[in-house]
Amino acid sequence: MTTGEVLLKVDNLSVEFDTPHGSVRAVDGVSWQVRAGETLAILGESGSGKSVSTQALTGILEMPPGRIVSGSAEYRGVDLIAMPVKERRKIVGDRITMVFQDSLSALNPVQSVGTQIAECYRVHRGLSKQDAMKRAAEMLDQVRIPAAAKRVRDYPHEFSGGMRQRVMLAMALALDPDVLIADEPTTALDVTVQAQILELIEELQAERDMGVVLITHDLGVVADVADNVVVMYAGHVVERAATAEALDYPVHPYTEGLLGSMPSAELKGQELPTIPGTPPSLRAIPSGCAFRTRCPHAIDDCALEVPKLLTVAPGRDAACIRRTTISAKEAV
Amino acid sequence: MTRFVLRRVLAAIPIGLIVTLGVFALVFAMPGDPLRELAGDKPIPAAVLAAKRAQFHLDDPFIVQYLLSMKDILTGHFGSTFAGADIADQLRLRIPVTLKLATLSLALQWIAGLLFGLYAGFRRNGVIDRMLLLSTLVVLAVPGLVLYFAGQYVFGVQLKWLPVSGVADGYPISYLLPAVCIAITGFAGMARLTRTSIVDTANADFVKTGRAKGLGEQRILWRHVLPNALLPVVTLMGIDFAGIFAGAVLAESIFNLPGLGQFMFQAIKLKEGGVVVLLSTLAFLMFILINLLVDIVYGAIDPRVRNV
Amino acid sequence: MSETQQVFETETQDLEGRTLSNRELLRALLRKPQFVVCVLLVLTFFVMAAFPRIFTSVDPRFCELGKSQHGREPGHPFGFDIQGCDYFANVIYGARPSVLVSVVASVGGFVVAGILGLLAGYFPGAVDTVISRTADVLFALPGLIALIVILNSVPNRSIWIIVAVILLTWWPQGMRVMRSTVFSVRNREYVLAARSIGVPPWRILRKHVFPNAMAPLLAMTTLGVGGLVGLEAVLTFLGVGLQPPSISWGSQFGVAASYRDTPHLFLWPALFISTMTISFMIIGDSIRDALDPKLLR
Repeated sequence: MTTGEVLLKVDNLSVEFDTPHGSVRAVDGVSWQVRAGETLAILGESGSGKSVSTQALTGILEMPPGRIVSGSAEYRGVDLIAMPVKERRKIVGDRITMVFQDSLSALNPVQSVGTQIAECYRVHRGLSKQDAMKRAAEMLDQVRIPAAAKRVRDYPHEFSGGMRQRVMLAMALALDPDVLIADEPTTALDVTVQAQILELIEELQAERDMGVVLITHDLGVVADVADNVVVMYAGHVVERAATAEALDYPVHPYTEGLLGSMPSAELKGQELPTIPGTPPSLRAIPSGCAFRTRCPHAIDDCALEVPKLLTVAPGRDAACIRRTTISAKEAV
Repeated sequence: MTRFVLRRVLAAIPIGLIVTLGVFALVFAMPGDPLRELAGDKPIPAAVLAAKRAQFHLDDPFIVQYLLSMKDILTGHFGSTFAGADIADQLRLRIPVTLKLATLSLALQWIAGLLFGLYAGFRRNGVIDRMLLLSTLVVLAVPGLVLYFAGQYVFGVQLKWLPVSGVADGYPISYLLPAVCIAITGFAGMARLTRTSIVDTANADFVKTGRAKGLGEQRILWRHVLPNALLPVVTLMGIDFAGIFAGAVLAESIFNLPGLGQFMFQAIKLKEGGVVVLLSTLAFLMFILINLLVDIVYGAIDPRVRNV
Repeated sequence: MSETQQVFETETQDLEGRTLSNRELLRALLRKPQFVVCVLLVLTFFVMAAFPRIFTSVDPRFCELGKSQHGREPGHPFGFDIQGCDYFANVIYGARPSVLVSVVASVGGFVVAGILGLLAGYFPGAVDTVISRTADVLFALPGLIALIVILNSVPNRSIWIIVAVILLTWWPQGMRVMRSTVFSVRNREYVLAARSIGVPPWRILRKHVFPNAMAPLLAMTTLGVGGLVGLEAVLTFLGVGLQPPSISWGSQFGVAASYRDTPHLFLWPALFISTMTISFMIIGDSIRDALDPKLLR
């Protein structure tokens, strides 16, 4: 369990989108925090609001149509959401940086990767062009890109997917940030390359004592690298726990379902259990508990109100009215 | 670079052959004797007729005629028109007229199109943007012919601000009205394309990356959005450039400017095959040259096409 | 003309791979008042072209030289032309060539460009080479110049010959758009799936490739109709279009150009031709918007 300083603390964050059919709430009352040296995984299906929450707090979400309804996101005690844009730009991109899923479209196709990495030094540190390029080459070397000094002048399309993701990492880590937000950094990659990138993130994190927020839909990735995990469903946090405990003993039925549908050696030859139904459209989230329509344990009361995230055991929270304590799980 | 240019030029040769051959066939394989039509009802002395026929190779087989006139064009022996004017002299007089018209109108429409397109794209859904979209739709919708006539009538005939036709007032006064008219028809397309391209590019993922890097909006716009958004605009500029010669035919005949377009128009009326083929060849060479230029500029902006 | 095409090409790129649900499309379109108004206007022009007698009972060729260039008077709202013929009747009868050229050339262009683009995009190799190289050649002369050169060599030009020549010079642009969309569609999973279960190529093209690749070409065509309206007028004005005694807006412009003192000779055909072009443009714009998945979301 990490005990480092709390670097980023998100509290009660809600984000809505204005659509032609009225506004929809993509993120609803989400809270989490990440400490130095900690890896926090935000786990959820697409549309669960996991990316939107981080994009909203860093200010890169298109607003409008997006809109932050409530909440705060404190970096070392200063609220990023309340601060003026100019102030925020000094933190986001410098102390908090991001890596995205699709490195081909996330890099500017008409600039060399070196120029794009150097831009961080130029804008935030005011380095000269030459010095910035030199530092960019060093960064490429740090993320283990072979012949970095030469490749610094190459363009994104000249790299393979895995190498491009390393370039993204180099760019994000160029200024030695406190927090790295990695938004599905390995989803588009082959399994072997995926493992290499995750390993690289872990190594660089250990070197720098950095906090990492890893957004993913892959339970395997969570199990591999995360210290703590936040499970999201339809814009809500449904469970929050240390990874080992959550995997070992999931409390929320959704987490349970996710774990149950992981292929494993024990289940060989049997039909893989799945969660029935599909995630709800944000336009038509069921009343009360959003998961109730797919939940095997749902009762009539689940439809009444949105379940609160309650502490079910020390360091463990879950949002399920049927399982307000660990022991309550045994009962149902 | 040299190899790239060389390859493009080599690839253009067969197309050029077919195009000129096609134009030549259309002009010379037609029924009717061009010389007799030119002379009208007046009898021509047989010796003059024979001399003229020899001069224009009219008695040779088709393919020989074609090759001979191609040889003349390539060696710079343009000869004279049926009426006796020296074609090389004509070109010397007329090329500057068309060039002046083309550069003036292109400059006007590119500057106006880029400015409005950029502004509308940066401030999309603003008042200027909405006005621009509406006005360009109207401008795109008014046929060029109507626009030229209306411009000529209002500013030339009625208000008398600018000369109605001809080049008597010299450059740029005489060229202003036709150039503005051409520019207005081209401007709409330019502005719309620039705007659309900027709006599309502003939604690209790398813009999000730029924000995540803590870059200011201005820096993102000028350093990241613009270079990417300009790619299709460069292509349009090329098409514009190549098409200006076609536009010149119309504008020069309406505003009575003695340029290449008017020359082409008159040559077609008089069935001056040699001139038509010559001017078509010129237009084709221009087309190849401009395409080459566009590809080079494109390659300079976009590294992805450099090694193709 | 080609500039506009380029603009539309870029504006319609996003439509790639969009399958059309006709009812959904129609409903989205009918919700726009400007679309409905323009469709009614265009329909009026169609009727005008087909049955000019509905709009005027005056014979456009009945002329009284004494009334040459006279202004309006009762029963003759647009006045008279230089030969003293009723100008209203002439303008009404002049709609036919413009309507025919724009509609037939765009429908024909859509069919020809669509089929050739499908073939070129779906059968790389010999078929593609032949079609694309032919297009290159036709592309190498600026559109108007090619039109002038070809049309000038045709004696006795009828409206159909003009349409045919416009088609001949127009199809390469549409073909390229179609070809590039087909390129991106042909390796989609649903096409591979159809191929893997042995569906014959013609059926794949018709049922899977065409519906998913037609949107950009359709949008480009609908936006391009407007430009074709003016094209007949330009060609006739330049003397390579319709020949007298055909009545058309282009020939009326030609006459008006020589008689600048009587602006009504220019004004009325200009008004009609612009109204028709703008209507087509707005219809095209609305269809493009309705096809755009980004706006439908």
